[in-house]
Amino acid sequence: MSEKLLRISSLKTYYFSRKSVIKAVDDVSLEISRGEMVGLVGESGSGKSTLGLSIVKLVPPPGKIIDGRIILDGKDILKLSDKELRKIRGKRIGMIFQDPLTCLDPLRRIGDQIVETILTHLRIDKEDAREIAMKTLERVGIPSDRIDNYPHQLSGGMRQRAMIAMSIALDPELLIADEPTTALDVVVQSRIMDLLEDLRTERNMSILLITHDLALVIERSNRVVIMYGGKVCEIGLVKDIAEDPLHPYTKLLLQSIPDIEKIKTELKPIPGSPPDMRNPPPGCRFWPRCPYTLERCKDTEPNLTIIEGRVVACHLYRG
Amino acid sequence: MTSLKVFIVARTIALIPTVLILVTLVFFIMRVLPGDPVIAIVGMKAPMERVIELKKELGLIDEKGDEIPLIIQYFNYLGRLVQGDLGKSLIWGKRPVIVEIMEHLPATIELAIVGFIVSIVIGIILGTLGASKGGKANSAVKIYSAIAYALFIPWIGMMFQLVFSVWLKILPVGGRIGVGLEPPTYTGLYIIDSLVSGRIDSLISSLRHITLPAVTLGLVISGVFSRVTRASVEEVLRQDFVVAARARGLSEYKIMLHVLKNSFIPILTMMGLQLALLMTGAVLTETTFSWPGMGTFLLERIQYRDYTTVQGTVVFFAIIVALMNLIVDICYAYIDPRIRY
Repeated sequence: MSEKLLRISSLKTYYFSRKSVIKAVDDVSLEISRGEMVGLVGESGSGKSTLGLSIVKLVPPPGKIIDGRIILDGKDILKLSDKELRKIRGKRIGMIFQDPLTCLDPLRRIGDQIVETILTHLRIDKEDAREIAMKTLERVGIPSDRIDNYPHQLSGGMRQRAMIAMSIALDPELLIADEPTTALDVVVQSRIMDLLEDLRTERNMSILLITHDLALVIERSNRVVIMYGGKVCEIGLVKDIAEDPLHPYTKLLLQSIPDIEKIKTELKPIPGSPPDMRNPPPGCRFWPRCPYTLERCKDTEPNLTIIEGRVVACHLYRG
Repeated sequence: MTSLKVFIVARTIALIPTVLILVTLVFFIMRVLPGDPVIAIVGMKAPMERVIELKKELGLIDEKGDEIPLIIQYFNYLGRLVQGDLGKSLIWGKRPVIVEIMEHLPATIELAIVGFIVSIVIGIILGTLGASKGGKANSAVKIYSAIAYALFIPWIGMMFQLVFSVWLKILPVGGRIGVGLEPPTYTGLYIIDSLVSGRIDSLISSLRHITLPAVTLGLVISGVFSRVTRASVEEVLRQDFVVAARARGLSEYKIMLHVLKNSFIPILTMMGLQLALLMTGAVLTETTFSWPGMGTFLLERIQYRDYTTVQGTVVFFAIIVALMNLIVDICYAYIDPRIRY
């Protein structure tokens, strides 16, 4: 568990438009060990999806990775050629997205799409690839006779399984799951999460679970990374974060999770709205919504620091 | 039966009412148009016997000279139509209309197909390039589309004639084939016929003759295809499955195949429309290059008020357009599994 598979250090991914620069990912560092599920939590626009896309160097224009390093197993992904990158995408790093309906080619049979992926990376016969595709489909819980179905012939949960099958057919070491269950109902969501957990334990696969759902992460992950406004504000073990959150944003996020035992209590939303990323507040990006704002929060950006074994970026804690 | 086969059968059956409505419309519109076709042909001062004779020929009055009710005329017409009888021409030997159409159709089909291929090759390649390269290439294709489609065929045709026929003297000015080089008739398409009969001289001559009209036609219509392709590919490229495919390591070439297939529905719609239009004869191109096809034929017969031929030809065109729509719909269903009854 201690072997580091992926190290991201001081990654900066900005979107450039004529008038402004959006710092979607601003100086983010994190590590993922083999066989570990890391939950990356943040609101819409916090830069979590951009971070996910940066790892495979697929940030859509006008986005650009301008600085930092992404080391996969000792190699810096950002320094690879397009050809070398293509060998990593799908083979060593798999990726699944929120909406499997729009992420599958609607005009191709799911089996053909899996086979195409396999043949891109392995020099084997079509029949053998089809064999692997069938096994992978069964592995994710789709009967192998559905191999010749089109995406629209599958239910939402099935489609997400097909998408997962496509991403894990080649046994990647890292799976980036960007909101994999957001478009699904809770029962299907929990089955998909079971599947991801099985993959992690059986194949020692590392999973980066990108979501806005802190409850889901607490239930399923080993570690949590909290992002706000393009910055990491807290990293920690699930146990620590759930029982003793340090960063005010994490605290508020936890409080906003509805409690099924107390149906009548009102939802506790975090007041205010996410920062305008074209023009983020100076200092700590969370201070306008923070209940504990200090004077220095308004002008000095807090750095990630280690306090008694915990990692947090907040002026309330000083090492 | 697979769902695709069900679709094809059902869609083909749906062709029958479509054609019936088209034929009915053509029949009644021709009847309500102002002007008496008989008088138009024989003239105001024609003797009564001549007028009656022609009216009998046209099926407007019976043997005794009584007028046949319109509805009976209509059913008589339908009856002849299902036997492939489009009536007889009123001028020049009074030959069956269907025979005259069949004489001119191969020239039109030949020009339509070659011109069509030129246009889709140019259009789809340019459109795809523009959409995938973006930036200046994209703007250039946008401008090309607008200019190409706005070109006036006789003008660009004459420019080509001036350059390639008059100045460079490498291609003929007009016509379909050199004198005395017509190959034996199998299909009526000279390129095919000369290939089948092994007449190399005919093949070269017909290819030389078709080059300028086909390029002129193809160039102008390529504007439509480059516009549709560019817009459609651009839209599909923004879809999530493209990023997902890249994330699986697929090569850009493979991804482009996915994208093109997904962009194809609007392109196919335009193909059907344009090909149907071409099949009914590219009048301007045919006139510019003295191409003996359906366009010039119909234009000539309208001028001579050859009323039965015009009606027969319009019905024939209507059926071609309906058939083309059928083919396009079947292609839709073949490409997109979601299109089913």
